[in-house]
Amino acid sequence: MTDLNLGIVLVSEVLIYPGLMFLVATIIFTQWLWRKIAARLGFRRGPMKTGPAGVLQPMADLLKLLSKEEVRTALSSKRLPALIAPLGIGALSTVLLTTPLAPLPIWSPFDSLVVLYLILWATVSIVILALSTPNPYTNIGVGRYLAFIVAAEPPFFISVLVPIILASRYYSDVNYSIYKTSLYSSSLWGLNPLTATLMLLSAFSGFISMMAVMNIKPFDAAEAETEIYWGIFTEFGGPRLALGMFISFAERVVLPLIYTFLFLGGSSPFTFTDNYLASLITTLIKFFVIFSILAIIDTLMPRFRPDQAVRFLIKYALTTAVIALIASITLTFIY
Amino acid sequence: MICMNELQLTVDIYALVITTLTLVNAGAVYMIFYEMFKRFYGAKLKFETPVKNMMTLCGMEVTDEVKHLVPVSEIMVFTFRKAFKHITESLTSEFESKVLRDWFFYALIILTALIVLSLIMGWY
Repeated sequence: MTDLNLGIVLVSEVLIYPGLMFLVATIIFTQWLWRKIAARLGFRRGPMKTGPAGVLQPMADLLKLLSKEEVRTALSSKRLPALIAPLGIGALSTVLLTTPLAPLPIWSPFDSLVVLYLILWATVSIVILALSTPNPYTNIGVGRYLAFIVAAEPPFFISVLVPIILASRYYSDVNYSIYKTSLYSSSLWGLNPLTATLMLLSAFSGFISMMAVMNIKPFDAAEAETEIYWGIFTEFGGPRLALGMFISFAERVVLPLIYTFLFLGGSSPFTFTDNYLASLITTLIKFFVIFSILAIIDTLMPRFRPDQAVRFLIKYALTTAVIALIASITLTFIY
Repeated sequence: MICMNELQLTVDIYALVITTLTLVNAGAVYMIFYEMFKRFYGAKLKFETPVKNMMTLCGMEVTDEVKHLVPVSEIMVFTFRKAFKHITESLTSEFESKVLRDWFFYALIILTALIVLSLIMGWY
């Protein structure tokens, strides 16, 4: 394959599948699913009008917001939101290239650090996006969001690192790569009692901290509608709101997908190289199960106070993640 | 190096390629989801009201000044201080009832013991 052809393949992957267009399609479907689950649990019917069973309602909402006049306050930044939001979305959809979903996945030793860095871009872009439009409620929302991020990102990153460290310990070709770990993650549960325990601990802390990173109840005090209007999104409307929600929804697709690959075995029992379609369907089924659980929790749970949420994250997520990390690092030094 | 169905790169080239692809993607998002809609539709809409460019203050007086704004860092520090204050209290006066009698504390001890036992017994 020549460099030009390789470039074309990579750009088409990042723009179409499994990049941007795939992400948009998945967001549309998952948001419809989220609304339907939330509606059913509240004895409502959910989206009905647009498309079959209302499945195109999220797309209609997106188009409506994008087509509105851009209104901003006199104090808000003019160009920054429009520049920073696409960077967050771009980072999240590029992460999908490092998963086995990509027809030509790209990876390198220690790529996990680059992927975690890109995931952090999305979080930072939400903060910058919100701060570019000053408002008392926005500031309270951003302060709470930052507190959650400081409490939730370290356990989430540590939880992601545990299977990567374990896979690198037992499989010589993994070399701390998130892509390679995705291929071996299912076997880590059955290797021995120690790896199973460490996977259990990291899966537990990873799930809790992932919820906090994605602003899912009970960790959604940053956008608590009844207290601080919409918190981080208070001043947003039209295209800015569309881009802000785009990042938020993209996180709700990319992070559960990474969780599926690292903790639920990804496409196991199939492999993408042998049977791509069966692997894709298996991965998506696991992803939708995780996504539905998140939607049910978000609908049924009440909201934590910010200090309660921080305390919960430190107590339940950080301690378990740190124990799993220390044990997995210890294991790498024992041959 | 191109393997069978994957592209392995050195870590520096990988970081460069991923960053470039992120920027390409960000450019596409900006052009499609912001500039295109704004230019063809959003820019033609105009709806004027006296409070259009003012902050949403909801019940407070309408203002275009920067007031009522609490620094973000102050809220963050306040949240952490409140969270840790509770922990400190529980460590002193109610340590036994709030920490030692917690199911999570017991589960953590059992799991940690299991990990240490696995390391000692060589179950790895």
